[in-house]
Amino acid sequence: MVNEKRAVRKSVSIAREVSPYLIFFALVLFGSFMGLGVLRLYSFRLECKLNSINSQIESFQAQQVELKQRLSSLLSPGRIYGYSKKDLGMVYASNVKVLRIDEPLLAELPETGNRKDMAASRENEGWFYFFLEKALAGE
Amino acid sequence: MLKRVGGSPWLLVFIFFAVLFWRVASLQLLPDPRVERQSSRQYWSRVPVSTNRGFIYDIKGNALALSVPTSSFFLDPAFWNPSDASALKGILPESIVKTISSSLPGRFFWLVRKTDEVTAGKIRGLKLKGIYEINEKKRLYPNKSLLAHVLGFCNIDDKGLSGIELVWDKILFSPPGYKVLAKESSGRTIDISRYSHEERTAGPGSVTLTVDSRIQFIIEKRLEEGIREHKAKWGSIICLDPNSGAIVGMASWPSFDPNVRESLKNLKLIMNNSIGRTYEPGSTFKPVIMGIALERGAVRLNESFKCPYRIKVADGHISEASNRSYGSLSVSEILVKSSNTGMAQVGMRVKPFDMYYSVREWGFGKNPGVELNGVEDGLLSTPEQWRGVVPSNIAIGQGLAITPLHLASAIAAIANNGYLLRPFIVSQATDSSGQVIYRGERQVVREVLSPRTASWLRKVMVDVVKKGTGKQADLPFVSIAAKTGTGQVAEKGEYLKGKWVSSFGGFWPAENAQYVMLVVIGEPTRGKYYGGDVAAPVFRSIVEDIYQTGLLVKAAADW
Repeated sequence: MVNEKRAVRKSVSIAREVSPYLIFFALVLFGSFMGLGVLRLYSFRLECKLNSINSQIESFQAQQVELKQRLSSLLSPGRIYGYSKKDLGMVYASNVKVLRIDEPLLAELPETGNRKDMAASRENEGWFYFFLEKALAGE
Repeated sequence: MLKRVGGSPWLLVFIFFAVLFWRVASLQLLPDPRVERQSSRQYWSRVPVSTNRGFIYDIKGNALALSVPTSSFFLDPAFWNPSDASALKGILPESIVKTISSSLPGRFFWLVRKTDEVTAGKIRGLKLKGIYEINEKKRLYPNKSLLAHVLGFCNIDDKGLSGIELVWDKILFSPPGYKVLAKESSGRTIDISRYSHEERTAGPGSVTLTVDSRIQFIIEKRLEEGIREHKAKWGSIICLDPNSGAIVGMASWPSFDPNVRESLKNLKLIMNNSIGRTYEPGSTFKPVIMGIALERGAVRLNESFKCPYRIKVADGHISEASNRSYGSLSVSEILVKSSNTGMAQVGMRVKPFDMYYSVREWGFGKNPGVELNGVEDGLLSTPEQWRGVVPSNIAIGQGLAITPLHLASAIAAIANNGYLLRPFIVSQATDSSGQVIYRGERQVVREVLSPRTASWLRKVMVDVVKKGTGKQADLPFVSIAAKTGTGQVAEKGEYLKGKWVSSFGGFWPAENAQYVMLVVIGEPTRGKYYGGDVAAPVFRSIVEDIYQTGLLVKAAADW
């Protein structure tokens, strides 16, 4: 009887020594599972954010394609020529002589900008000098 | 009893929860493969995603070819009611409506692919059960027939079949990828864009050409005018930068619109005459022969030749195209007046083997190396076959067949002081990440002329325009150097009567060439056929147009 009481007291004391660690372990485990759940929910939230960004990217890419298509159509030489001839009534400037001044002759003039840019803008303007109104020939 | 087991009542509880936690963890972290498969089927949905085909740009960055969104429709026979087919009359072709008016086998039938938005809107509006829509991409060429032969075209599945679309298909084509979508309990999908690693494909790249679409428009327009004026059967114009070999324009007539798929069936329309048609160059070949003779020392610059109306050569004759004798001509006058008898004598001074290898060194009879498909090498018989009148025929540009690109490259060698350059039409190609994986560059094939000989040839070609057969191309505000040519058309071993190929090849400004251009008009039928009368005016009008618009060629140093 005494031995049994001693054994019970001993097991209770062992359990009392061990139980804080068990509780701690259980809490850690519980916390880990909760954390896992939170992380998964957070990753799902990030995926949804990614999805909306991807949708935006796709939308912008589609816009870019459409804008490139429209730009290409607007810059089409055939369209510009057709519009100039039919809508604006322009004709070839076949009786106009073009005077071209080579760059060395302009060396004394102050440079107002980058020559490449000037050449590029001259190029773009020259394209529209392709057509001059008939009236100019008579002037 | 509890007290006896392990000495504590909590041990059993601990063991119970430990087992429980382990089981939960193993189910979460190491699920059964069957459970995984079942949940994948329920939770994820794998859908195909069409991708854009890459852009093709001109040298200014304008898009010449691009892919635009479009709709395709298919029906699932399992859900389709054939009696609904009558609603599609007038929207779809009769043959399709007839087919779907009866029950169909299988689970998939294309109704229409890559249709226009008007048709798509009509089909969508009917809301017929069993018809489903797929978003695809369609290839579009916004400038229609501009540069059609170079750009080429694709099939319905966006695979290149011709031109740049074919040759650069590996860069431009991107196979359809797959997206993995999440499914809700109701079956609705949520796009959370998860790509599986093995199914993620690289996007398309892009190709930028050396062609300037403004110059291209000019040469195409003038070529068509020239063809219509002289009622010719075919034509070609090539314009390139002699200092780099970059092709700034390449026109072929007849042409086609790659957006109109019906026109792609006609092989005559889709053939690129600039690289795929061979013809006998005639007198435009004489500067090449003269250059070879001078370089080989067979002829001196101060020599003269007697040029009667006709000379006998072996078993044949060579006669003047003008049907008159020129008397005594200097070497330069032979080119200026385009004397056949004089040129034949010059050509015969070079041994056939030497002439053959020199002509090949100039690039004739070989692939010029341009980044296009369907490039012909031309026809140049081996020297063993150069018997009788053949060497003198070749000296006047007959008895061999070349493409316009071959000759344009050869003229460029005269213009740039003697360097035969590889012609190229692709400025750069980039992959999907924007990295440049190919860049077109100036590439010297070989030096075919000394600077002295090249300079002399340039002066003579200026005289051709000022005083000789090319007067119709003369312009007061720019110096043009060129050579006319009128070649006969051969068929089944004989020259056809009344069929000619008129050509005019040259460069400007003569002293510092910015452009080389060759105009070839095949089989004019309206009376005139000489190169100086048919091709030279077209050349002049293009030079006028380009000069007045001030279009500049990219500097050779930039390539």
